[in-house]
Amino acid sequence: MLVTVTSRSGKEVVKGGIQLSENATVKDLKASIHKRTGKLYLERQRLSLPLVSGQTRPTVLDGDKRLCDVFPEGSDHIVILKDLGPRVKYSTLFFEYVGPLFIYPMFYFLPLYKFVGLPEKRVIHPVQTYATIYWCFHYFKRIMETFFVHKFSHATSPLSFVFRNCCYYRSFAVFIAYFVNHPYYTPVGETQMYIGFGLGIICQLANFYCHIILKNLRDPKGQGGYQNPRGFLFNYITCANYTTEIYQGLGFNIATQTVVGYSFLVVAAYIMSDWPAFCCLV
Amino acid sequence: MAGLAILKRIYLAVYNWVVFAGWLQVLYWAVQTLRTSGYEAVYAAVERPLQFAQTAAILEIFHGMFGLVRSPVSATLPQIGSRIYVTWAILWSFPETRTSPIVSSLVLSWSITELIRYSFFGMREAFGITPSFLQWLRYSTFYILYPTGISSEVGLILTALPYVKVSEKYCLRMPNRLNIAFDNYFATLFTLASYIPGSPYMYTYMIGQRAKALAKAKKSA
Repeated sequence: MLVTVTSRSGKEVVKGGIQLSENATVKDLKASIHKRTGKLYLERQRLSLPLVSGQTRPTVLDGDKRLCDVFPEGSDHIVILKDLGPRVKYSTLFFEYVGPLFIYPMFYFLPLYKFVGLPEKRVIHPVQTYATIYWCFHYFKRIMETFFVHKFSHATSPLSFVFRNCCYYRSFAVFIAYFVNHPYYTPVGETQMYIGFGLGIICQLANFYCHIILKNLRDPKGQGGYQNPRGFLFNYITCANYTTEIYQGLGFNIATQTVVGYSFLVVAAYIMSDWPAFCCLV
Repeated sequence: MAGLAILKRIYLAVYNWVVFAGWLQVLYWAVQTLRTSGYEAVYAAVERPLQFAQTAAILEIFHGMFGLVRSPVSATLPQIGSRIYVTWAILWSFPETRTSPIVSSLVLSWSITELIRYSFFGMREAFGITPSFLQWLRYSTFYILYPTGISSEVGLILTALPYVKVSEKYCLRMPNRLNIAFDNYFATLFTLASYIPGSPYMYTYMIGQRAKALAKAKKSA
């Protein structure tokens, strides 16, 4: 069959169209487009059918479908191609965690406060030391999980997200590290500190176990598609991995008590609540 | 629901004309004072209607959020944010700035722009007409009034800077139990810096709006 590939404005993107076998899939079509255009690797392409009257959102074509099943009866074989721009794999996420990992200890170890006119010598409270260890362990854990635990789908994110996310992580890291390690920092009582870090450690361990469960859900052949997690906290909470992540953050804040720390928690929780298709039962 | 649509229209008509009346007072008193007393007295003459009309504009954020109007929050927020900031955090908070000649250029730029804008929307909501002259004014005067208005805002903030630093007004110092601090001087510098990307963004947004509006007018002609 001959497939015509146009842009959203109707202009033909691949001159003369693409000749494919009758059993070809959408994925085959994307591969041919990639060959003909050069720079449009598969993850960068979004193929959809032309809008029919009354439609507001186009029908996006799924990779595994056969082309003959996708085109309506008797229609021209036209697909609309959208260039999604440079994409990155999900595993690139680890890069976003490196920033906070190195930024935070700088405020603990280096005499940075003199640059804002504050006294250089300061008394270091135990909670500040524990907080630095806790924070660095948290981001170290995230990086390790990205490499060794998480199994990512083939889905990708726009490159611009990396810049946006790095700004987000680094800005909050600077603010939180600044206030927790401040020369005039006021620590909470010892009991509160132990409760906070205790909660945090337990939740981080639980979170790790949730990630293991999620990893084992994935078909070793990488079939993809969604499966319901079972066992452990997933029996009670839909997105137990996000829940434990939020509560470990709460633990950190109970122990360190800063306005910016709590603000970060609120923002992060809000962002996470958006992710799953069904609401997170926190 | 037809009833809801009518209610929305009445509300928007009333809102636009009431705020219009506020800005009319601002312009009137500004011009009067300039003619009789001089620029040092302009702020005192316009303070109340200015604060009223400008603060009322906060409602427009909610209008956008709840879909009462089509303007995106991304364009309304910086505009209203900078106006409220200059009105309350600079002029009201630091009386030393009130006698500056920049107050006059600020108030004239703001009031003329807003009179055109509110009457345009007021006409549309109340009478269903969009006079092409008014539409032309709305999408053309910004070419001059945005630069004069923005320069006046920046000028006033710069005028206030030394007083912000010395007075320590609105500053929050550590130690405190919430481990939070706020330095107004740094925050003011940061606000000034935000005008560097912010101004071209707003200006080009209006240029884009102008192109859209004129294309629409051409189509329906």
